[in-house]
Amino acid sequence: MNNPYLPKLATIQKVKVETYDTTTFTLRLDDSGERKAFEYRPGQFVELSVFGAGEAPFCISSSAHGRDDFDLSVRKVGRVTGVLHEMGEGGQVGIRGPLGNCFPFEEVKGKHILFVGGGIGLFPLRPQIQDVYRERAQFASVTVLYGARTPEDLVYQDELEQWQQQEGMTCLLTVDTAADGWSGNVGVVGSLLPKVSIDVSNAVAFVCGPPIMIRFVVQDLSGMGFGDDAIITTLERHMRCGIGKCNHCMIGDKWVCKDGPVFSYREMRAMAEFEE
Amino acid sequence: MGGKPRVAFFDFACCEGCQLTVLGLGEPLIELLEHVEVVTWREAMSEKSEEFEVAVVEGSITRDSDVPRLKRIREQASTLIALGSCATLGGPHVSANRLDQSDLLTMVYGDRAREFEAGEVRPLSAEVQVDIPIYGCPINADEFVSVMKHVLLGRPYRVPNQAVCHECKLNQYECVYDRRQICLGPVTRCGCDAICTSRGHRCFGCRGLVDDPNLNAAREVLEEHGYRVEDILSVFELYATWARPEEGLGIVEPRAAVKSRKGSEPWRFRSSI
Amino acid sequence: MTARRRAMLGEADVWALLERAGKRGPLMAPVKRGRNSFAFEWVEDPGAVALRYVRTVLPPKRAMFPEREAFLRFRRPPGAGAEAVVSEEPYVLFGVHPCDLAAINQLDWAMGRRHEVVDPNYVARRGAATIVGMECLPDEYCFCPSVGTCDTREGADLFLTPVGSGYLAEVLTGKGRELLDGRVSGREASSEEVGEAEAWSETKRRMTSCQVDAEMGELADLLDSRYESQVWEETALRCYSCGTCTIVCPTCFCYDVEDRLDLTLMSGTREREYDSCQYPDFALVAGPHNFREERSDRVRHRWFRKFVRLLREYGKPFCVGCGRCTQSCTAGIGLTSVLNAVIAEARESAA
Repeated sequence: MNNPYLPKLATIQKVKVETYDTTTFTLRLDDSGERKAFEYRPGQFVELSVFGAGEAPFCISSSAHGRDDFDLSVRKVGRVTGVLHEMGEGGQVGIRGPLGNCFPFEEVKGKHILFVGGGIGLFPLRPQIQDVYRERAQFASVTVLYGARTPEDLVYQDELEQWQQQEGMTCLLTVDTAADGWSGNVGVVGSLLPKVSIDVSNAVAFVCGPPIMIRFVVQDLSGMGFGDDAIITTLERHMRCGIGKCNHCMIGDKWVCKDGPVFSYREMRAMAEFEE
Repeated sequence: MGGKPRVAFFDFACCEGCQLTVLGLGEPLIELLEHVEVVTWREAMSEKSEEFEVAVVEGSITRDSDVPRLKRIREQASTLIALGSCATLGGPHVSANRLDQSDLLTMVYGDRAREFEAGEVRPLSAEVQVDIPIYGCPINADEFVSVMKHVLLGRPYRVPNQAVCHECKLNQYECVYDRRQICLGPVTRCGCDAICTSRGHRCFGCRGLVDDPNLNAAREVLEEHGYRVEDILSVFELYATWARPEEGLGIVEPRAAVKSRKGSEPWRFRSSI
Repeated sequence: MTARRRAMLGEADVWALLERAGKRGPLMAPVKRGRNSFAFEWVEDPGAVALRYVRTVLPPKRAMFPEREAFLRFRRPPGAGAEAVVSEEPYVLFGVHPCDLAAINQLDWAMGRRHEVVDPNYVARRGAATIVGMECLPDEYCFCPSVGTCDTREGADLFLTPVGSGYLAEVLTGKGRELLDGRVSGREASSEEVGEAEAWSETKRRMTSCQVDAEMGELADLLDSRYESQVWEETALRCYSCGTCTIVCPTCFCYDVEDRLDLTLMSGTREREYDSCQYPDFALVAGPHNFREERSDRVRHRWFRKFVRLLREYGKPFCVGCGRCTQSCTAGIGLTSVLNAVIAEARESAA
């Protein structure tokens, strides 16, 4: 029997430090058969094992397109992430997944696509941004709004620069607190929204970030005329098993690991325990 | 660091029973010694060293003259482990804090009271930062081994924060309340594997209160079992005095300017992610 | 389907059955632990089995979902690796009351086909079980008639009902027949004996003093309408969050996972242990952000999970009326008392 609790072995191919507390690990499954079978969509997550330290869920932060490896961007917050951050290239970990649902893609073709990310909330959005941009002609417009606490907290800095210069894509950045050398926008990420002029009746927003940021951005988006179905986010809960058994990620009547992690704002509002 | 991490054991006011528990580990202790070098341990060896990475400290602070020694240990150690109820909670002798200091000295030493020093009895965390507390009177030997494994691998240790009821139920022991007796299990931190209730005793609360004890419930329940307020305090007196349960019990107003009783305790709410 | 076989066994036959089950492989059965406390345990001596008991501390789910269980063996890098640990050794689980049978059926769904992926450890242990059910009489904490579990036979392979000085045995599956056939000298039950066994159901209903004041079909909506009820806050004032109610619950299946290294520090096991939604750290995530930080939120979650969320999904409440939570709550919080207080509020506000 295929045991869903048994991790597949993977090796760290590349380690890229993003900020003082976040790092992107490029992982490749050791077994070629498992690599082939490992098909995922943006929004999905994996359970990563650091043997002896434990297991924790991370969203996959790279597009599957043209790659047989994948990125996990990780902030150092505790036991598993702490040990992971000490591992280098060649380090061995375990992977279960891909797990959970994914962002809508075919369904949003033809629309204006707005991404709003806060801090490490850009991690789960990145594969979707990459996939949408790859098929840019299929979408009315692509806008990325990204904010972090300070310029030091901005992740994917090379890619942000690239996105800002790419044709057919608008990418605006902001920080809550400026530092020397920052000439960009200062303010919460919601303060960038007035700079966006798209037809909201034919638009969809992908929002990800800390709970407080999501709350305010969703309010702003609703004010702009985005419907509850046109606001999509991913929820972070501590999914332990990832297969709907252990109940750690249960919120309202949903199991984030099976019903999510991607939810529309309409679905989230229907969850009794969701705090608006 | 190079080589094996060096471990030193120290003690302040205590019965040394927790160190004895470590000494009594048997096989696991020998296996542990494959990974560490013990350089100081008065209870077990005559050699001494001022150079160590891990300090395991038993006992509470009772005299101001103890403080410089504790601070020196703290400065030297990259990891400081508080061992047992005295080091983590002050221990049973915290109840001495309810008495006037000079009365106390006279009571114990009579005419020679002036020759001795006494102060507020306090846990190590009142004076220095403790990296990992190992609760218990005495400690649970298995937990000591588990903590050492975490230290050796440089991984944060998650201190249990469930009530003793958790382990008592997992072991299917008969509930003390079903024997018409009272028990501190519902508000006491587990990690002991419910050793007292396994032997027909009640929980005495030696691992201190859980992070968020419902002391209102404790008072109501104990009162319904016929306990008066002063009885309830005495039930908590043995180990929980430093945590001032009387505030949570609604028996006294919280003391406003209490010297950092909950100190800096980095193990609280540590994510396992 | 072959017709049910009903045989009459003397008490000596039941002891012989236990003796043989114990010789065949592991046997889990209720044994007396304290003055009035029983526990399902792996028994070495079948003579220690308690044929009559009201309830055990932990439910029999521990046979297939142990309170602590290693489910993976791993090696740390270099040379990292992992193997699943799954036990399929056949065993007999003896003396399961109808409520606990109902709970096992619910777990079969929750740990089995629900959410498309099965829990391999539960499913393997469940498949390895031969379950002998046992009829029982309620005490003041039982409310199986309210939740419709008091006549459960499904899940058992063989079911025993005390009749006269013996037991009427219902053979429900091939496994049950195999356990009985050729091992004990039962005779076909008479129609009087069958009648006596069937009368238990009515006796149980009559003896039950505790009840839920609503039909199961209306329960979810009633509770949903009182999401903001004061009852949750009031209950929280008495609740220790000690988790006992959920640890002893036959329908709860939350667990936590931890890696334990052996003293080589190079290999170890990944283990799970019962967890509780009542613990303050249960819903804690990185941040740190706790989405059920308030005790009252956790209290409400417990009732909503049983009587709203899983009831709507499964069609029956995730509560079988065994009375364990109420009986073992040291603060005296009653599951039906709280439920009925909310039901009364809901009816009042609707009127």
